[in-house]
Amino acid sequence: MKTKKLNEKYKWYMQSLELIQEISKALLEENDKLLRSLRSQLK
Amino acid sequence: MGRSLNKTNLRKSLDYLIQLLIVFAGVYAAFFLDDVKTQQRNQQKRIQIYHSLLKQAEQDSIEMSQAFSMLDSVVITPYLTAYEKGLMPTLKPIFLGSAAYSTRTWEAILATGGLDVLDLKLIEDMEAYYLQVHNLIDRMKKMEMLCIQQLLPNFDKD
Repeated sequence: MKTKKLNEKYKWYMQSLELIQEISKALLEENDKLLRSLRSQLK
Repeated sequence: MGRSLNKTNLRKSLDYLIQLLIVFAGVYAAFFLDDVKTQQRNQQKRIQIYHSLLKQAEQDSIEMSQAFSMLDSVVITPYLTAYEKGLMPTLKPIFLGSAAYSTRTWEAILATGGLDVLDLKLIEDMEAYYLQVHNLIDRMKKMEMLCIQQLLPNFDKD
């Protein structure tokens, strides 16, 4: 029972890390989109 | 005598009309030049604003990249690699560090009347960007807090 709960916590942590990876990619993409937009408007 | 007076009056009237036209042309030219100067000033201001926003976005990009890269190399990749191998790796706090963004430049632009010279598209782009980034960072911070406050202290508990 304890092992099962422990495994769930490991899994939860793993999923959290994957989610953070996805969010960080989305953030960098948003930033990149803004940079491209600003540069194109400056041309 | 009467005809000569009429001629003189006509000439005077023409002179007045010409003077009036000259004054109008002068005033119009002054307004036109002023308008051109204002447009030039606005264009310069617009370019300065774009450069400031670009600089700020580049700075945000560097700081976010560094923070995510650090988090990835120290916490995420080692954990995920070990987890995939079926190991029970140590859980580390999810530390986002300097993963942030700054609205200072945008706020300063709004406060100094920059909106008057900006295109609507840029204003919409900036507002959408800050809203999206704010929501994403907020989600990350919540994950960070959940991990530090809930998961890690209670990890060995039932």
